[in-house]
Amino acid sequence: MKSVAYNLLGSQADAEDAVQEAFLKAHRSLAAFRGGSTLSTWVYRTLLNVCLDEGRRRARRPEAVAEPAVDSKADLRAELRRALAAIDARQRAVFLLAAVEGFTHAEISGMLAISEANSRTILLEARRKLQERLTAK
Amino acid sequence: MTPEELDLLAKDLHHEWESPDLWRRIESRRRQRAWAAAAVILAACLALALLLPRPAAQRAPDRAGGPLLSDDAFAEVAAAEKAYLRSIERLSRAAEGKLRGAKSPVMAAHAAKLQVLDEAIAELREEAERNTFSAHVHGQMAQLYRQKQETLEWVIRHD
Repeated sequence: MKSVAYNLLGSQADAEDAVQEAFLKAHRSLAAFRGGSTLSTWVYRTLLNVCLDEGRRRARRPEAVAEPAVDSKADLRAELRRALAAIDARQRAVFLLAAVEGFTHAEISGMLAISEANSRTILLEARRKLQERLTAK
Repeated sequence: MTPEELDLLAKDLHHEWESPDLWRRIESRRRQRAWAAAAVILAACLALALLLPRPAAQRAPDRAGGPLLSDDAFAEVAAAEKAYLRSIERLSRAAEGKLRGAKSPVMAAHAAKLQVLDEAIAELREEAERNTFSAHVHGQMAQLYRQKQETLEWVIRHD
């Protein structure tokens, strides 16, 4: 959970705050949990909403995480983070959940309240945009 | 960059770090918010108690009936509360094992919720002793009993 929040918000402190807020919100609204998804999917959905709200509150793209350029791979990671910060928030979320965290489309559909097919198309679109940006460098 | 290269690079973005204090922070914040909510409920109860019409409050001790609870209504409320208590006692016994060994954060959160409910029920019982015939206090009590019943049922249903 911290990794998802970190990649969406750009700092460890913000990520921990978001995880804390997500657990508190999930706890407060436990009565609303009807078992339509797994509990972890539901908590992740809460976390994503907290991160998206925070992103909207800041009214700016998440900061690219500063990463010391110690090797070419670190450079590439920094470029990928910058490219991620520049794409649509939903595409960024689906890419992070699928490609970085390894969630299935079934799980992502539960977390983002979208269909599995939609999750697949959003991921393809995100990949295409990221490839374009990274290749253009 | 090929899709395969992008996928490999993406996996490198996964980031983990130790946060030994995070759970303690979450629990402490949860308690703060629970107390704040309890204080708001208590303040609302007190405000409502102050707003209750004085003549009705004076009639209550002699149980002569009136706008609060009549003798018959009071007997019904008492019977309903006894039924709640029997049900809660039965559910508590069934949930006892799961709550005692609560390891998951969600189960621990439910155990904490039950504690808060018990504290709120104890406070309301004291209030009920002072305002025996207050329909409002008994209504609040019924709500808390229902919440406790639902929470215990949730604990029994889940692992």
